[in-house]
Amino acid sequence: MKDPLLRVENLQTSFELHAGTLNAVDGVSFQANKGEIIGLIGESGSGKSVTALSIMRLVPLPGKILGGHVYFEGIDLLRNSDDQMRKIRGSKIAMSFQDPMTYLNPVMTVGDQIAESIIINQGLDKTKARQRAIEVMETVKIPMSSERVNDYPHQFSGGMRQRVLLAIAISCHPKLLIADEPTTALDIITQAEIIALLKELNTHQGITTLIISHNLGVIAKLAHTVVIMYLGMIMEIGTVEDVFKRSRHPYTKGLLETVPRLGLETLPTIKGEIPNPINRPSGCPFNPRCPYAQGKCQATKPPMLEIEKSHYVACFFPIMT
Amino acid sequence: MSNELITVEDLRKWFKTRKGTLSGLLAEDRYVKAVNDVSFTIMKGDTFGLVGETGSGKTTIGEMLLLLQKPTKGDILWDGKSVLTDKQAANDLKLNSHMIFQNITASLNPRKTVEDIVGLPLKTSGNRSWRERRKAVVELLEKVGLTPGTEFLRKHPHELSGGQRQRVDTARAISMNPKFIIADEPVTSLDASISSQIVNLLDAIKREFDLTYLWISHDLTMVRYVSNRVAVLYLGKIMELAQTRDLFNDPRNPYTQALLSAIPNIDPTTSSEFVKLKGEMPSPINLPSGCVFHTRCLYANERCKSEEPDLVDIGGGHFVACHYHSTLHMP
Amino acid sequence: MSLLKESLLETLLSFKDFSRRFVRHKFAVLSVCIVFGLALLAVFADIISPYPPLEQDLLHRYAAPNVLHLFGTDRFGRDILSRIIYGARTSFYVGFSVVAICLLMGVTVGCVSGYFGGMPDELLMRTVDVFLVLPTFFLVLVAVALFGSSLFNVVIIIGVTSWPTIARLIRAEFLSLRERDFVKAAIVSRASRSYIIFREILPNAMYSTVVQSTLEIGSAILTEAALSFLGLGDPRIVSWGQMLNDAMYGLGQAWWDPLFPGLFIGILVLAFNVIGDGINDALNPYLRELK
Repeated sequence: MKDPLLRVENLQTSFELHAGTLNAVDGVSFQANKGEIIGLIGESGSGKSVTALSIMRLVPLPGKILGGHVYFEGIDLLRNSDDQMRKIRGSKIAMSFQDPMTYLNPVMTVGDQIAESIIINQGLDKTKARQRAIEVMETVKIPMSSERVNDYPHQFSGGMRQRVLLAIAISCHPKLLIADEPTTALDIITQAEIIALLKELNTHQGITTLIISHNLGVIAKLAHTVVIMYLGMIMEIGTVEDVFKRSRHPYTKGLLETVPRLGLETLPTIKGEIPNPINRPSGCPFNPRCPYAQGKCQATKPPMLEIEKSHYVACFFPIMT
Repeated sequence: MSNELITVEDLRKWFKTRKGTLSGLLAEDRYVKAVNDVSFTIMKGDTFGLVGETGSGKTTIGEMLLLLQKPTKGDILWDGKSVLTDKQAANDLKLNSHMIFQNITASLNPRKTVEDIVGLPLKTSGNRSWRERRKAVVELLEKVGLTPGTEFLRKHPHELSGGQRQRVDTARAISMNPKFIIADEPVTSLDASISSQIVNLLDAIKREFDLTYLWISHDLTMVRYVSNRVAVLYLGKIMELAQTRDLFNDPRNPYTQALLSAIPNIDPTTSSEFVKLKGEMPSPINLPSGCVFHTRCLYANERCKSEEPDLVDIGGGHFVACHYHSTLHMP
Repeated sequence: MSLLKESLLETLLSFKDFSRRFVRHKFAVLSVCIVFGLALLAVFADIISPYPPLEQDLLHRYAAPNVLHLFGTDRFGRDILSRIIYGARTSFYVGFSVVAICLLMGVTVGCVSGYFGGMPDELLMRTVDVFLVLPTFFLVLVAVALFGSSLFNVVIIIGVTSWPTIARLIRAEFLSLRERDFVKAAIVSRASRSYIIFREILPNAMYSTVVQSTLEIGSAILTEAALSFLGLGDPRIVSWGQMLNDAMYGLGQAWWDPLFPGLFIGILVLAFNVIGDGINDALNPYLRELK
């Protein structure tokens, strides 16, 4: 039984704000096997982005990782020194973000930015790094890469910029790629292209990928394993088929039902609003909005139970039909 | 008494791009050709979906319909009369239309209270005392699901959640009992669990007030659910226009086919082949010759490059702009 | 939009929030007290001042600070403390009048320029350029030569050379704000143009202007002091700059003569600058929430 590449155990990250303590990630545990694509689904306030930043140890102040373990290749990243983390970021674990324009330097050519990562992480000289940059741009399907390597970010379209970010991320052959909302700002056709690209990077280059999104369709197309998060806690984990076709958690079921289908007079909804994470409901965080909630749900946090092989739910009354 | 509410005829909007004063004197004028000779009709009671990617011109069309932008060419008819020449018709349109915006981009003035925001159309149409306006605002808030209305009067937008802001936006839009509402990406920036609430609300409002909607979006799944007719835009031109069922079941324009194939299905067991397109969307400053889509279309040939296809009626209210529509059926 | 980000980037709207952030800056709070204190002096000068400011006592010229004259006397035996107190009046008068002129002209021009764009914008901005080129001091010289040196003239000229900055700030805000959806919503709601400019956009455009105006008060006071020091000011009124001008005659003899006016000019102008800084920080949402 191979060890998973990434194993997150009981991760806890919170923010001390003036308005109160925000437990962004509260006891999150999941794992990613080598070569897998994990899809992390959550709405606003679910803590999915903070989870990714915690894995990378890039949580911004006033956030702090309070506890838990993040085992990467057997080593707990949370015990690493800053120096050790710097060696891992970029070369072993890489991340791409939602809004490319914010993460690309507007006054550096795209080639220089990709090469920069290569020079720092792999120690190649400038010429070799530039050559490698052109290769990576080809891998992410940026056309005319040998010419466009000298272009600036603003000369690229939104979809191309996202590819540039991915290029920077994979330039040093990382073992794990974390892609935070890679398709959110993009049009449908570009989105489909990026989905295809991510799939290819996973199958051909063997890069284990953690994809974070609020878009159910994107995750359905890409992920092997799906993790559903709500207000900092995991509600359900399973294979993509289990979670999408045999959802057990009322939240998952509710979420999937809100996707419009034909022939419905009104769309099914989840009643109420997502509460402010600072004032998280006691017990199961979903209980105020859950159609099946009972007294027990408000009093105690449901533990994560394996309801079927490799299918986990945190619910006292999972849907068993 | 015709059933046509708004008709758009050969509508065009070109924005002049500004160049520096010196080079501007020397060089030729360049235009961002956002909307190019678009024609369609919205019937009373329609939910007319306008879909397209960024740069398709859909928002600009919406703004022109509310007279927020002046068309470069073409005409807009309200109840059969031209709003560009007939002042009365223009007034009529303005009195009976409103817009719901994408909430994230500050469609609510951050410095104002909910009462001010929702009460503005009531204020500008004059004659009511502030007491009467307040009563009307409370009623409107409760109608859109914000109860008790009085609690929300003094709140500022930043104190509201995304869903609540969208409800306030809706309340403002219906405050003057309009006949026509343009909803520009009304649920795109909302969480999934909230957006279905808003869609249901807009549907209920439509039935109660007997409204007609123009639903602008790039979310095809949502558009398919809410609209009865859909127009697909690309670079400011209509590629296809049909009843929703016809468009989604039998798309005849290669662009529509590509769009539909790109929709990610939430059933992981179905595998749909995504129709790949060549290259990228060209800039609206340099529109391709002939069919604007020819640079990316897999079937394009010489004719597509030189000859622009007309929007032809292939029966049943289904219009396509493609030279080869009869040979292209979605597999 | 992440709820976490939203709670970290909450827009400033309530005064309570603003004051809470403002009082975190101890120096800013101190400056407010200083300004308030000096303002009280200015308002109640008639009651507080120990001597009339113009009363000369030639028997006690250049008296060092003592029990009768806490700040000493100047070359005409006038009590310096009393003159400081009355001088505060002048400073506040200059500061606030100049800012009033700046705001009146700057906001009007900025609004029209920023909202309408096109030709009006071009014309107004070229006018602004002309005003920016005008050198304050030389203008005052010319004005003094033509119209005599009165405080009123000085105030007008400082105001006229300072308003372009405000105009540009407002214009820049308008250029970006007018494209926002809430403005489009107001147009669709059939609000009049002046309503949109003054009730919808302007309240959102004022943030940077508030900060700039506070700094402008300090700057105007300093300019008036400098002009008076150079002898271009109004000799009939009591002003701290004028006192410095007087102090030139006995330079080296009486250290208290230039010290107190100089000190008070520095303190007041610095106080306004620190307040402006404090307002800027308090309005900036990104610095919030760090305990």
